[in-house]
Amino acid sequence: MTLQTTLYMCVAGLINALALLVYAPLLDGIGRKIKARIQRRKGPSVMQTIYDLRKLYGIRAIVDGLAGNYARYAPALSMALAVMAALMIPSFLPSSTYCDLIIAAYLLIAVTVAQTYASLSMSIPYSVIGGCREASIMMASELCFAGAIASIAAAYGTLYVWRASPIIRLESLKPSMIIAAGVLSIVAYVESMNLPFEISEAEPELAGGTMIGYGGRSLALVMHSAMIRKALFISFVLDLLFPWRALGAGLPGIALRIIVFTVLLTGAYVVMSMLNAVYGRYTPGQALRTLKRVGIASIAAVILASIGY
Amino acid sequence: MVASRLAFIKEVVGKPVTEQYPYKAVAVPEGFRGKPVIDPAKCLGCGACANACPPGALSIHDEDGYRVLRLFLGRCIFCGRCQEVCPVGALRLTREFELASTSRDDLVQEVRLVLEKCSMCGKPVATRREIVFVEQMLPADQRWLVHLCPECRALVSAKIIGYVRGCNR
Amino acid sequence: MRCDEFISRYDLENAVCLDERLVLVKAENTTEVSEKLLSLSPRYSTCVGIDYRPINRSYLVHHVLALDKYGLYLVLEARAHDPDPVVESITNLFPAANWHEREVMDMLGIKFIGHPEPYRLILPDDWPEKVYPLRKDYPYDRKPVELAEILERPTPRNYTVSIRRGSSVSEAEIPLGPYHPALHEPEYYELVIEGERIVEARYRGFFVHRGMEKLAESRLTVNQVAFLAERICGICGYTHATAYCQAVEEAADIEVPARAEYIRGILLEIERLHSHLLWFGVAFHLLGFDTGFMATWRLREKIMDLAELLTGNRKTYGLNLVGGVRRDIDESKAHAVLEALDFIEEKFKKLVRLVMGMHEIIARTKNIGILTREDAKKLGAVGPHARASGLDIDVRRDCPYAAYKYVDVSVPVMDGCDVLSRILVRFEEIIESVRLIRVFLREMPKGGLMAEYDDIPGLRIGIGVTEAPRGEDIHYVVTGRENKIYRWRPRAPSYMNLATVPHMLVGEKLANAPIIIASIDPCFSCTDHVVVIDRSSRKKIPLEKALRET
Repeated sequence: MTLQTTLYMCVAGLINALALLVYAPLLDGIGRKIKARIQRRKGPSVMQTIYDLRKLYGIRAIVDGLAGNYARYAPALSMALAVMAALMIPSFLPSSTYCDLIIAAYLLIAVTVAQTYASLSMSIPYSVIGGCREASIMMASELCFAGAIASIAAAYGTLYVWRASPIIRLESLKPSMIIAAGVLSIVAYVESMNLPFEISEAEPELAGGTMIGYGGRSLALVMHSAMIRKALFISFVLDLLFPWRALGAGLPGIALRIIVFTVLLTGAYVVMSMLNAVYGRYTPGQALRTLKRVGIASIAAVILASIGY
Repeated sequence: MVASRLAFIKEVVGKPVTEQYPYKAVAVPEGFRGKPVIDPAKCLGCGACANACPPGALSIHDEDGYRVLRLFLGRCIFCGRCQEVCPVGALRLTREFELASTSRDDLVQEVRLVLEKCSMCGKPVATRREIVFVEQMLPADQRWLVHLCPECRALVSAKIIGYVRGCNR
Repeated sequence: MRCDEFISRYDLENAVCLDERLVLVKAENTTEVSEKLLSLSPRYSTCVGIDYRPINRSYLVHHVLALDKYGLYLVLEARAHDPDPVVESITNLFPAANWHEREVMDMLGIKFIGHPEPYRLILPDDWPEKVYPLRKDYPYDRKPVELAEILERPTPRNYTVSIRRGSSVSEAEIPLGPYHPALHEPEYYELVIEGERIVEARYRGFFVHRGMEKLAESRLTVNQVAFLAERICGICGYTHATAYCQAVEEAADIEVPARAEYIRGILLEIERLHSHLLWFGVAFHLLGFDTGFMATWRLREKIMDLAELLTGNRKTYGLNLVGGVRRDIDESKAHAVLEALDFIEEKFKKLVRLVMGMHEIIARTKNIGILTREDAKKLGAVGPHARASGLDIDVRRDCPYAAYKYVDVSVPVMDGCDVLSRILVRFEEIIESVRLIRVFLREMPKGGLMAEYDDIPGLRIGIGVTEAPRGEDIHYVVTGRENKIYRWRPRAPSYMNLATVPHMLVGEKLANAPIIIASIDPCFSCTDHVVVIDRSSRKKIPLEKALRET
């Protein structure tokens, strides 16, 4: 790997991370606006989430006083992990050519694990319940996620995203990959805290669940890192599904990539927030049952991929 | 099932129902019970409103030769009983509802009416309008009674009755 | 059945007709009489303790029992005397009397012998002993405890969660309230959970006790209490005002003109519509379906606008005085009402049809929060909550009042006993309300709005019963002298229904707790009583005890 490529990768990664730091909250604002419009309300401005974060960042860090030391550092840790993921996973710009499926998955999951572990260590019952729910949903959905990744690895014999992408190729259509694409989309939806799966933060039930032990800057870090992670999860799935190389190389290729990616990412958010608005919330049991079915599908994908389909 | 989801999503093209208040005024219907306003030119000072007012927002008392009627909006429940019982229609409920203020004084209305004095002993009796109001309901030869305070009235009436019955010769 | 027929048919001793529908039975031995009455299977309605010492030097305890099939109410009277007022408890015969007797114990200091749980109900823990607020010698504006004293007290216990290591089972105690987003009024549930399952539920309420009964006796006139009654509840206020006025009208034999009765009926149904639509919105919100919440409340706005048009205010209608109503409904207003009703009926039916097609909503309401018919009957549940558990009771049909005397009300009853049944019953009631308003508007006779009457005679008993959106709302009044009230006891329907909540919660998942609590349509403002229910029959794990003792 030449110095030039390394340099390019670092710069591209940085640009990606900075862009996502700003764009992820904006996407959240767009989502809120759409949900409001479906409910026939004007809704908050699309910049509202950014304003909220700005306000929270300006307030001192507030953490549940009876929680362990880890809870104090968890927000910064989860933000660090989110930024690392943003540096590695290709989003606006094709950054790391060495981004591999397992590293990407690990980083994405790590953000949530950092937060969940913190919420379990709080003294507030709602936080603990939220953490337990988060953990159980994660165990179910990460299994599906792992299955999908395994099937991709099996189908294309590589762990590198840029070699496996796009996983659905018209010239050699594999049923396992269609299933994997479906599983990945559902997992991205679930991991983005969309109804019917928004269980760990259920406001009517848990008053905010996993985030209730935080205020001020800590809350800002937790919320912001969750938003970045959400955007990255979708980016990851888009990286795998869309034939990026068809956009060409060089400067025009990169420009095209930025535009197409932004459109697709925003479009994905729009669709997800529309679905979010028209579903009720599952109980944890119902969510797990649904994820069980998705899990079976992902196992089927693994099996099919290993035998060549 | 999918039909349900689509039907709800279709609402996104509907016009939002959010009212633009306070940037646009909100209309309230005729008969809306808003802020009561006392017309001091009509008020008799009789206190019927203060009697009827459930929370005691209206209060009436005499001080220094004046009858003072006080309405404190902070206690008002906008029920309109005062308007109903006022014999001369001096109290009206308007349609005004934007009553928030930083100063308590904005919520107080006071009417001060001079109390006429008893023509015999000089004690304050009633307001002029009250006297006029009651006078008109009495036959002409009894109207002088209203200008006396209750004690003097009792004394004079007793004297007259005694005279008529022959007790006082 | 008429009151005198009833007395002769059942050969009741010491029974006297107070008016057409109210039978007073004086009982030296309340337990004995209660046993005799059990064969009629009455429904326990309320209990009123009255300090009658200024009149005849005794305390009166009046148990009010409802005989829905006959449209009659029985009042069981027991007397107690100073210095140690004591009567027998009938809780063993009528479990629903539990809270009522405790309330009388708290507020009047009358002891009920044989009561299984004679603990404080309404008064807060720091209220001094032997101070009974509803006694006539206690001034209404006295505060028995100084603020400085309260501030010196130790802070209340800390709810910490600790998960036991090494044990296969861990329990956590979850406080739900008094402040919680799920609950719209302050109430307090303690749920002991194992994983997601609730193993024990404790309820404590009465955080909004406002001393209204005392206030009504002290400085308000008879008509002024009607306005106070309206402020018992921000959702069903008009029902309370109507029940109160009816109680006084019965006590004083005042006949309300027919047009006024129709107007009351129309506004009562409009209030039912607004209340049920509000409830639907809240239920959707608790199920996570905010879009449904917004859609329902959009429809409800039309009702609020109607109320504002008809009465001058969106919620506090202020329409009732004893003897009639204060405002008329003219042609143009009637037309506006009918138009709005058409719109609401069509949209709401469509909305509910769409929601019934959402599997996650159905899954979260079907077979959730079961209250069996037997439990509902035993605990005295009322309203849509009772009707969803198979009890066919509705005051509008059983003991008609206002304009309901002139129409047939169709009462929806379902057997599901679950949250879904409660949803469906309220849906049917909305449709029926729309129909009733149309009938009332069409058949409203011309005439006066207010009865003419002389001074209200003192020391007469009257009860006013209405079917509030949540169930039977009963106001018990003893008129006083000089335009005042001697005793007023409003008993809201949620008082009865709240007792059923712990039964429904135990065994369910925590995620379902908010919707189960909400499914009885609780109105804590109405209830204004404190209860601590201790279900100590479950097997305990030491952790849970330890949590309680910290």
